[in-house]
Amino acid sequence: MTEKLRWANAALRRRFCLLALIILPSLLAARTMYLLLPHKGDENIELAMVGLFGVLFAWISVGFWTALAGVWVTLRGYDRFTVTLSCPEALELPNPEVRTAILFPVYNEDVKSFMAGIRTVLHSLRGTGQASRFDIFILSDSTNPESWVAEEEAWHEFCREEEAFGQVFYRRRRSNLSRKSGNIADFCRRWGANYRYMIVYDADSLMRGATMIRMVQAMELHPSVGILQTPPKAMNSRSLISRVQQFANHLYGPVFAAGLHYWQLGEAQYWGHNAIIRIEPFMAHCQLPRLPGKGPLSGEILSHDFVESALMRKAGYGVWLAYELDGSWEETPPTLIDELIRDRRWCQGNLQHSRLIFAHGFFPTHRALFVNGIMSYGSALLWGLFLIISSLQAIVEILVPPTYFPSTRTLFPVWPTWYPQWALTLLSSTAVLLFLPKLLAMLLVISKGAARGFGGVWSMSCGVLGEIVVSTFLAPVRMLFHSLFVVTTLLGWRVTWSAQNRGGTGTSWADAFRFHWWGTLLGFAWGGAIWVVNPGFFWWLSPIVAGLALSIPLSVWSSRASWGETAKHWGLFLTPPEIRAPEEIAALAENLRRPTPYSPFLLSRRQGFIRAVVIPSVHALHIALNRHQRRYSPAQVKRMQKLEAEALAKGPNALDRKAKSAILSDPASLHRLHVQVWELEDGPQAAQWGLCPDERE
Amino acid sequence: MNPETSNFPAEGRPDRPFALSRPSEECAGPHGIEESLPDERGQRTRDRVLLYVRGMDIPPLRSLAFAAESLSRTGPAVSQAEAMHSLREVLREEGRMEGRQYGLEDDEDGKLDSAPPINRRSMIAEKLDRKPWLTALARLFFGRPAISGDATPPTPQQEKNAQGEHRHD
Repeated sequence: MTEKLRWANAALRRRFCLLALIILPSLLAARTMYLLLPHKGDENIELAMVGLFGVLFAWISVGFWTALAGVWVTLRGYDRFTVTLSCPEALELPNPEVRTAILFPVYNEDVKSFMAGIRTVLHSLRGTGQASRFDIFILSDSTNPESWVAEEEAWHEFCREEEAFGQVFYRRRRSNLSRKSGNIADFCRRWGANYRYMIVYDADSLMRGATMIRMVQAMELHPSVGILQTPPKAMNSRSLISRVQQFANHLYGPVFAAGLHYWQLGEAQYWGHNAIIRIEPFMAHCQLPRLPGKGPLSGEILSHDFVESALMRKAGYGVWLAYELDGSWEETPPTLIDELIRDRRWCQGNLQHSRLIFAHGFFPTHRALFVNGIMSYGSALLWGLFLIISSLQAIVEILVPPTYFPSTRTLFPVWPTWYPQWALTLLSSTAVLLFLPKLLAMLLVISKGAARGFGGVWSMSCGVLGEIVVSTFLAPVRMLFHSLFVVTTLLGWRVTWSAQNRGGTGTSWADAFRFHWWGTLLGFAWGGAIWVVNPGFFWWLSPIVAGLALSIPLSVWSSRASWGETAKHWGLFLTPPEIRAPEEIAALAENLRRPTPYSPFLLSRRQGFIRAVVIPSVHALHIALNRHQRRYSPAQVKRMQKLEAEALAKGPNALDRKAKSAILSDPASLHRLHVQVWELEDGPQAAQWGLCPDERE
Repeated sequence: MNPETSNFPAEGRPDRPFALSRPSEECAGPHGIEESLPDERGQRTRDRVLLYVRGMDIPPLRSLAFAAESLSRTGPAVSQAEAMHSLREVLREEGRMEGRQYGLEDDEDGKLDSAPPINRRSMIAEKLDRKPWLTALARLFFGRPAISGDATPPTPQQEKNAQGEHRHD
């Protein structure tokens, strides 16, 4: 039997098992809910509750059984279908024809941060002795002209310092077509034929050199693997909320990853970064189509990774999760608001997949993964509806007298009966589904003697309790926003926010109020109404309304690095990389501390446009990198001359982003401005360009 | 530190305390040309030229030589614009303007490649039948597949825009 058939048969058996484990208990739970309700589902409102509860119970069962499967795999020590099982011990790539491109797509990122990451990756690769088989590409989609120049400068300095010309490359796209997926596709069109594989990063990703070599080895040994995804672990978290997520990721993440691998096998998901991709089938089969029509569910596919993995599998190549591979990291959003802004994009992208669920050729697992992605946000709406209906039921029970003698004739009156012990049983079952995986993950860590990595058994246990408390309070806030995202996306309403996370100081009270005032109002109103009408039900609802009512301070406090540091000082939410930093994370920290190279000009790296106009070396570099023949129409020439005159007369701050980009895109115009600026006599105009002090001050 | 009472060896000690520069006091410059000590305008001109060469990516002594050469041609009493013009002339004569830009490792056209030569291939989306039941019905009744509801590849204009990023390569 071929390898492909073996794992496919095993996958089929495992998934049938999973379906049975999800559906049967969910039906039982729904029936229990049906029986415990006072009118036994005679009323529409109760029927709706039962239906919603069944769906939600099934949803959380998926996570539960995935975790249990992960525990099983971890206890066994391996899964026989693990892709890297057959890799040789030695970290060698004997075939010189095998070349791999490492891609860093960037979009207006902090240049110092991602260059520090690239330096760390390059050094780690050089440490393996196999660095010559890898090239690094910085693929810039930056629209900010300041970032554009800063990236060029940083690339050139980096290559000189590291002697990396010919190995580390920089390309900036003129247009941002199709965002990240378009950025990667552009690389594939230009240089994809030069490489067999590409390893895709995010700007804040990090991977160990040895891990990347292991991935290449696995791909070489298994030609039917199209994508191999590693499960990245969180790193460098400072705020309280990101430390909690980092802790959860390190403690529960390995178990869940092993469980996902158990069910998915060769039909796993690509997460968009920290993965290796076989370029030839990717280019042949994974270019994303556009969805026809208008509205938020049309146009470019935003969550490209799900669809690319489905297309790769459709083409006959496997998509695997290398759950056992270490040495892969990423950073998490530092604040709740940053997380929600990210979720807004992901929600829209996942909802778009509803238009692909029934597409011809996709495997059932990937259709299920589309549904899973939609439910990641849709479940919040369902949960919200369930809570609203429950509250309405609780209010109706108090305000509306019961009907003892319904229209159907009965001998005896019908007494609405509550069964609180059944309700408690159902609540306990739900709690088991939610919390048992956490307990099992903790016990696994203890059994492997790895508790010290989390600060010891006591510290780890307190961390788990703390994580449960924080998650419980934040869950209603996430539910509210995710529900809002789903509704506004489906209705085609555009909701945009911008929050400013200024240098790690966290969310300001003003920003928190702007985002959360309506949730806070809802929490007080909802809780107040229930308290007045049905105090008994209030206590069931209290965790929800408390989370909503406290969302403003929760958002602020959880964003504070000081709170995160305090928790760390108390031994809470410690993770193995903090106890003993892996070489790469320590190296990254050191690379982030590298001083900016000396310059006689008092112009910050963030002033890229002025630097390109004024500083001769930066000016020369920018022109050399962008020297191309371009013909301008007379109208365009006139426009450029007008921009130059405006820049000269009013200074660089008078130009908007578009104007700066236009000048930077035209080497001739930029050079004319450079000459004219340097000919300015000392005075206010020259001072605006940093050529002399502003003597008016 | 007072040089009169310092521990400098006698032969290294200056004859008199360091004198403040005074306008119009004459001395011989490095090119043997007699020149006045600079007034404020001259200082600004000098500083402007020095700032420019300091911002170039070339060895320090070389950059100072360019500055000295350009100032010697015009004298320090000229405007900053004239001094910069002179400096550009010097740099052009040394091949430091268009062409070999300030010591960058570029080719003779003054172009620097930050990426390898392009090895262009196409990457086109396959047609995706999002409503296969319609296709099946159409095939059943009309003997041909339905097209409606297909997720389409990008239009030629969109592909052109994507490819158009390469037009300057």
